[in-house]
Amino acid sequence: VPGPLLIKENLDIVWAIIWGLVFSNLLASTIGLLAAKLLVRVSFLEVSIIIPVIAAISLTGAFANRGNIIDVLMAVIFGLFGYFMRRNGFPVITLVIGFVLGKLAEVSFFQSIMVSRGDYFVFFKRPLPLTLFLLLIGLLFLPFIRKKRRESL
Amino acid sequence: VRKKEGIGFALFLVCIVGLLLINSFSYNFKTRLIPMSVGGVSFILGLFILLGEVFPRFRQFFEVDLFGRDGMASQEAYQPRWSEKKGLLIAVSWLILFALLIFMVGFSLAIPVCVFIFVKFFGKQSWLLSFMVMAMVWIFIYGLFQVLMDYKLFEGVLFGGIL
Repeated sequence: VPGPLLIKENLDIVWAIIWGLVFSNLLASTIGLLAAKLLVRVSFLEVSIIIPVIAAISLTGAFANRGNIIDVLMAVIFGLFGYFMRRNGFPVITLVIGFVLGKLAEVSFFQSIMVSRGDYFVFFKRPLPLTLFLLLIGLLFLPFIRKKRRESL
Repeated sequence: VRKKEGIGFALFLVCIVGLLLINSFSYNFKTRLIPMSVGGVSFILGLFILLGEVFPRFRQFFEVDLFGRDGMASQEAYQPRWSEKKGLLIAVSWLILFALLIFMVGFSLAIPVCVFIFVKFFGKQSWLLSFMVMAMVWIFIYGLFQVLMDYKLFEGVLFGGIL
């Protein structure tokens, strides 16, 4: 029964969730520690065995997430996209970070706009966001400045 | 060949971002704020990359050590063993076949077939090992999803799977 009175009315469920989390973490850590020696052997397996195993688990996982078969197709497309990114010297991690933080950034952006009652310049009016923004701009240009300095030395 | 692929990929990125940017015009003002600001910056950076691929002298200006270490170099130097055209073509075809089989006949049949094909014919392993890997992967996925979690995997459109 989720809601604002959850803790007051259903404390037993809350405790069950907390203890469930505690035990699941303990269990996962114990299994991880005990199986570490066996699991490390995976890295010695041949690539021709690892690839189909990972592909099968990944595609099944892609489907199981939402139960949508289109997600399997998307997993294949993005898998190939990631491969070509690496092949052409693009770091894949930046794309993954974008995907993970994208939604969070959008939600936070609109939260800030709502809190400021529709003021789009809220990010430049307060000292903390302004400092962060200026630091970000500075960091973007820092490599170029460093390169120039290195060249002039 | 390498340069052509670089130009092609950069052009592909610019086109994709450009299309998404154009598409975002159909949203209302508030909804298109983030897609347009992120997409706009990405589009400009994509153009820089494309220019850098076409004109190497332009690229030199942007070749900086972004993370204060040689972090990008490892990405540039990444050359997988299957970068040869034939190997890449086979791997891509296998992956597409895998997705197509999942769509047509479902996970339960596609997984053993594709795993076996890869291990036996692409990996050139023995028949016994190929069968063992196939069986283990199938048992693991079927056992975990269908039996333990009672999760119904897609059966394939040929066997009544609903999209």
